[in-house]
Formats: sequence, structure tokens, C-alpha cells
Amino acid sequence: MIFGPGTDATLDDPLLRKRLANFIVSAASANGCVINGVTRLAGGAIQENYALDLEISGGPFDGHLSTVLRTSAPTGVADSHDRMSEFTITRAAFDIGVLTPRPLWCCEDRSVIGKPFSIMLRAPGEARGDGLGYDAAIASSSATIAEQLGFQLAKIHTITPETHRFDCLTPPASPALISIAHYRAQLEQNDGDFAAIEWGLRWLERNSPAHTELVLLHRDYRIGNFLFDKGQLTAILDWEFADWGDPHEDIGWLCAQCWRVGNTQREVGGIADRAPFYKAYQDRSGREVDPSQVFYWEVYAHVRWAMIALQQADRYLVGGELNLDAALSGHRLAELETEILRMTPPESALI
Amino acid sequence: MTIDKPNGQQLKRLTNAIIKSGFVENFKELIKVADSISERSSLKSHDVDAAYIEYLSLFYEQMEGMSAGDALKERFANDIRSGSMDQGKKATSTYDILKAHTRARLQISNPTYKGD
Repeated sequence: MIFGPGTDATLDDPLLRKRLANFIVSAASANGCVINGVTRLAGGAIQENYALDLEISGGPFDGHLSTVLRTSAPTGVADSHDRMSEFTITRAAFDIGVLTPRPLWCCEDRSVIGKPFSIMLRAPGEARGDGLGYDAAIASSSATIAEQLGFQLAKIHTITPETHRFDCLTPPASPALISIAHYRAQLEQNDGDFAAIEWGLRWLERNSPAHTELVLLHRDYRIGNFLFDKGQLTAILDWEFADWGDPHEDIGWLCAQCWRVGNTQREVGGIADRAPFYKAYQDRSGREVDPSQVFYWEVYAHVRWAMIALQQADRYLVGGELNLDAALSGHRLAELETEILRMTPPESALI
Repeated sequence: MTIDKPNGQQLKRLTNAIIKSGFVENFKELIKVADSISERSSLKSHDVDAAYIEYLSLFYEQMEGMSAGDALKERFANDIRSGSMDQGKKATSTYDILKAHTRARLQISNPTYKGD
């Protein structure tokens, strides 16, 4: 999936690998590091991920280490964090016990591999962005997975502006209204008149929550960003969109129709029912899940995905990246608008 | 042209560039999808856009033809944003136009889409 100018398979370059090994020696307080294998991992619509097998000698990581190197694709989307910001947020989540791969090191020095990157431990399991609804192990443990997802999300949401400070994040007064203004500004930069998205944004504006509790949101909490192994959740990945916001936003994103990957009856990401997910979330967080607020953020999810889809298409049209997957995202717009309209008939309002 | 992008020609250029790069094996399915969209786009895109402009002309009672199409589309989007279409018959008509236009675009982007 990597075709961008000047970035294709750079990790195959022996000189680059030598510089990378030197960086790891220094970051790991080791005496030596041999990079045994580099494999490009599937997935990662915006970032590139490489499995990196290391033999480290000396220091606290002495021995074999299975890791993942994460770096930016040639082009990206505006709301995605840089590697250091993502690393800092992921570490905060890992430190409070969220099931996410242990972040090891981050490097902003472009002289090492040509662009900033981070390295994390590799977690077991498989990511399946195309859906898990047909996987027998998942199907038989869908309620357990829903509970795990609810429990983990509640844990993420214990991080608040009162408990943590991140230089890259500013607590917003009204996350919904700020997003609406941001998306309208983005539409103005786009060639075309996006009337159905405008309809969705207007509905979101009219129904915006009066009061919002602010917590750390993952903001891409969906099936494609989870690892599963033998029917169990093993890791939550990709924190590049994390931000302060309304806890219902993450719930709405996971439950939105557009992320059920063809298994629409299973309303939690296409794999489970809502009840066990909500219950686990409520039990762990002590926070009541408000279905009308979840509905609001499901409408928002479709609008947001539509905005991301427009940016994904621009990675080819403006950025010149020969990335067919990203380009085809632009053609998800009509589907997303169909859902926005289905959820917001005239004069509909939240109860 | 509809707002969906890349348009048919742009998609064709992209798939050609990928085929030229020699990575075809990895992208066979995606290329097939892109080629289908490209083909449907070249056949239907103009008609879909013309129908949308006709809806808007009727709605605004401005029979000014295709040349005024962009202005009408912009006005429609602006009116939705400003809240002018929030209530009553205007809301219903707006919604009906949006649904019809989205459904027509879906016939190009993904005719098999059913949602719920």
C-alpha cells in the first residue's frame, strides 16, 4: 500500500537499518542491536507499520524483542497526530493499564530513517479491518469481547484534563460545536457543495449537547484498530486521533453503522450487541450511557468519516500519493450521506 | 460532474499508474472496484448532476438551466447551513432532494450498498 514519493520500502536500505540499530542501542541503553527481520504490516490507513525483530545485547531489553515500528505515510489527514504526540498519549494509556502495546521509544530525528517514528512491543493477535463477524472464535465469544471493549474504553476515559496534561491537546469548551466549525471550514476549502454533509452538520448543531464531560477519547475505537487472538481482545492500536471530548463520542464511533463492516445487526462494531458493552462500560466507569447521546455521536461519526474520506481522496488528488485504497475512500461519501439522512429526517431531534 | 472524487477519469489515471508500477497483483480487487466506478461515472455522472440541478431549479423556481447549476448548488448548501431549511415544507423538500441525489450518486459509487 506504499507508493508515495521517496518512501517505498526504505527500511530495506542496509545503511538505514544500521542507523536504526544505532538509535535502538542508544534508546535501549544496550551494547548492541541486530535487526533480523522487517515486514510491512497490513492495515494502517494513514500510518505505516513494520514488524521489526530485534536481537538486543545488554541493558534492560537484553535478548529477542518483537516490536513494531510506526511511521507516517507520505501523505496524511489533517487531524492525525505526529508520532511524538501519539507516543506520549499511548504511553499515558499504557501506564494506567489500558490494553495497548507497550510504547518503547520515539525518534524525531529525521536523519535516522528519513522521518519520525516510534517503536512499540508487538502484541499478539490479528487486526481485521474487514470485519470479524464471520470469525467462529469471535462469534462464540462476542459477549465477552463486548465486555472487554466496554471495560477498556471505560479505563481510557478515566484519563481527564484533571489527571493528565498533553501539550498537543487543548480541552475544548464544546467538542461538538468546535468540530462542526472545523468541518465547515474544511468544506469551504473543498471544491464542491456538500449539501448532505451540510444537512448533517446543521442537525448536529441544532442538537449539540448542552453539557459535556471531558475525557481522553481514542477517537478511532473500532474493529480495525483492535487485535484479537483466540476470541479475546489483545490490544487497542492507533492513537493518532486521540483527543479530549465527550465520552459518548467513542461509544458512538464504535457503534455507528458505518463501522459494522457488513454485519449491521451486531451494533457494536459488527461483532456484538450493545447490552454487554454498555453494561461493562457503565460498571467500570460509573458513568451512565445515554442512548440519545450515543445516537447523536453516531450521526457525528458518519459526518466525521465523510470528512476523513474527503481528505483520504485528496491524498491522491492533492498529495499525489498513488494509494488506491485511500482514493476509493472518496467514493464512500454517498453511503455515509445515506446513513446521515436516514438518521436525521426533517425536524427530527433528540428526545 | 458529481461531488464524488476522484472522478472517473482521475480514477482511471490512478489505476493506470498502479498497473504501470507493477504492483497489480496486490491490488487486483481494488483496481476492479475502481474500474467499475470509473465506468459507471462516465456513463451516469452527467445525468445525475443534471437531475440534481433540475431539482434545485424547481425548488428555487429558477429555470435557468445548467449554466446556473453551480450557483444553485452553492445556494442550496448555504441555505442548509444557515438554518433556512430547518422547518416545514422547505425541510421536507430539501430532505427529499438530498435523498434522491444521494441515491443517484450511490448508483455510481456503490450500487450494491444496502445499509440496514
